[in-house]
Amino acid sequence: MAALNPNMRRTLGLSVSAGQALRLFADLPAPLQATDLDTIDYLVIRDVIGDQAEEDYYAVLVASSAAARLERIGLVSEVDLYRSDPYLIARALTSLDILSGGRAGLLALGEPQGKQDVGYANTTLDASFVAEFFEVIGKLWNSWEKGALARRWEENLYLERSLLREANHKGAHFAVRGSLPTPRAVQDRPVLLVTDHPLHASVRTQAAAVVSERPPQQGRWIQRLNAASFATGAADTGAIGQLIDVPVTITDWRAFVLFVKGLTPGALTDASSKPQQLGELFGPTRVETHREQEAHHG
Amino acid sequence: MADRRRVRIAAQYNAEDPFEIWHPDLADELNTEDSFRKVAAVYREGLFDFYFQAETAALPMGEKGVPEFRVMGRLDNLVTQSYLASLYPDLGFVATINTGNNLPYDLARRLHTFDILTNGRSGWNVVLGGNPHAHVNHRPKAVREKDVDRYVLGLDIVHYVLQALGGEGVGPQHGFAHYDQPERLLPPNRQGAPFTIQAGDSGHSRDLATSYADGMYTHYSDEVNGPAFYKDIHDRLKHHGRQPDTFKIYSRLAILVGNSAEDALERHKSLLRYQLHDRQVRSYAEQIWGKRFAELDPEGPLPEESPTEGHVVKLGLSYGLYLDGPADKAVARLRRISAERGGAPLRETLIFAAGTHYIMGSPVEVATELRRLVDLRATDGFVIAPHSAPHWLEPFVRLVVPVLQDWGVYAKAYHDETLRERVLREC
Ligand SMILES: Cc1cc2nc3c(=O)[nH]c(=O)nc-3n(C[C@H](O)[C@H](O)[C@H](O)COP(=O)(O)O)c2cc1C
Repeated sequence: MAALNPNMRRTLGLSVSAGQALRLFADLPAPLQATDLDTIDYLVIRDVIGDQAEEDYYAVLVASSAAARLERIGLVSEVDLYRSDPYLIARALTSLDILSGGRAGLLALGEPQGKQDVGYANTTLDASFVAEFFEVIGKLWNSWEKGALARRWEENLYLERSLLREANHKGAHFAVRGSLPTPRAVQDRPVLLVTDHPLHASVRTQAAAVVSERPPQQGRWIQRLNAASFATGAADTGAIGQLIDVPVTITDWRAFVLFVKGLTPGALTDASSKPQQLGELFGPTRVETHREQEAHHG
Repeated sequence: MADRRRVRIAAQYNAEDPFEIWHPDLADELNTEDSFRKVAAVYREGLFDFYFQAETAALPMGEKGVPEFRVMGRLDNLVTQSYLASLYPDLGFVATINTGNNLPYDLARRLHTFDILTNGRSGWNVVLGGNPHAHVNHRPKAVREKDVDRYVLGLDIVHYVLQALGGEGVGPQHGFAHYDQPERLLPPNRQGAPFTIQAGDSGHSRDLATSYADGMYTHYSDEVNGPAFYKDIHDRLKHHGRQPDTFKIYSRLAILVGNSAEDALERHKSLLRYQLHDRQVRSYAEQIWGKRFAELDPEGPLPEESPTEGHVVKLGLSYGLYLDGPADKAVARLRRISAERGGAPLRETLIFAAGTHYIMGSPVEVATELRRLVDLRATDGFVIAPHSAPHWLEPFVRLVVPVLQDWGVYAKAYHDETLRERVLREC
């Protein structure tokens, strides 16, 4: 693992299921001010997949709804990559990044859930699938270069097509032409988090961080733990940050704010020191964007 | 009063709308949080039935690549509308989603959460895939692309999704074994299946829509095409054994409200050159006539020359101009439109030829015309496509809506009801 910069502040995130997030923020009277959430940097919203459960909540949409009611903090949605499509996910993540002003990220679901045969030609699940999924998101990300939205009336030019990049991806699992139909995101790179699940083995060093209870063999570690362990000082200084599960007993936004205010992170923090963009919390993602890929191959 | 028909109003915005003006001095930047939020505030104030978003499945490709002259680019509809529903919980939301490149399992999950986030006021505008090449961007389906019949696949996907969400219905019937019965129904939510409306025109898509949907979205709303479409749809509904009054037709519409008729006309004239750039007028004219023009005045009459012999127009749906086919027919259509408008000049004629009905006038004139079209049964309601974001419909909301309210044909407040109930509500 790379040596940690001792001056770098450790991040603090909260993990909440999409159903709980909905209940927490549904009756918020107004956007929660950044100062109410001083101690935390981002929320992870976990996908609730109804295959076996009473509830089903699609995390990306709940994150978007939460983004409108929470100021400044990052919003990381868990996504079931195994049963989705990189083009649709890249578009959704870009859209949330635009709406939230650069606060959007994605956490890949670890263990596959439910029936995999949902109508895709290829349902092979291995680490190369996840790696290729990330590769395609990277190639589609910001396929509108800066300046593509030209709006030069004299020239009758809304869009400058020479600044649109195609992905032109052909791999074992996906063939994706591009470009995205969605303008540029705020963040230069997609913020992609992974877990220590074996299916994520090939992407850990590229990911923004690896969320797991124990230190992963590779990648930047975000330590996942429960609130009680965190309170009793179980935060590991080898991690770049901690991700704490919000206790299920917290069911409304007042209790949530009290919970957040009660957290005392290691070397933190006030709202003014928070970065504007989610990705700055973790250090750069190493998924190649289209431009870097062109530089390699072109 | 039994024969007083409600005037249903909804409005679109997510850019790429017909008539859209993008000149930097006349429109804010599009596709920003700010523009969406402000637009939603206006639609909320106007008590519109719903906020509608269209979809671009993939960037269109012309001969030289993606068209550069018009507004292009859209966000994900469900992400955007979930965000807005959080800020404007009374609004209803209709998202256009194609059946060609979405899988029913994932789509059903998304629509389930969308209905929760919109308090039961979610809608799905079903399109069967506006861009036949969009699949090049997507993970291959179990059905091979060359075997896809978009109507068969579309209906299977619709049936799967509605059954997964509503717990009722027939389930997929048509033979794509890959989309058989939903494994497990999603948990119940307020509205069950979303309010569904289908955009389409062909007999095939009319038949499909009238078999399952709650409504249709059409570009017909004038007094000639509207009633013909309306009657045809009601006949098909009866054929399917359905009550026509449980099904509502919404028509896309462009609108310009002035303080007076003269004011509206003046604004219309002054905006024309921003709707269609001089260069674009020339480009269209040359593509339609199939020849180059040494001199061409966008503010002058249509070229007197005949189109090139045997030339075929291939503009596609660019700008909603339904002019494809033999050039002499297209030119004859333009001449007719120009004559009907008292000899409208070339640029204005092209704008009126776009496939969206356009109403302009004083507040009372606009209200009268909307009510007349609804009373004529040219349509049940309108989805207004604004010329620019985000302020375009403010005069409509502040000046036309009160007139409709005075006449008792428009809601005075939102009720806490599902979108389906809101749409079906009469006066
Ligand atoms: C008023 C109207 C709006 C439409 N909007 C869209 C749209 O936003 N995105 C899209 O892909 N297709 C759109 N379509 C096209 C439909 O995809 C297409 O017409 C439909 O799949 C059925 O085709 P058919 O009527 O030719 O059978 C629209 C069609 C109409 C009539």
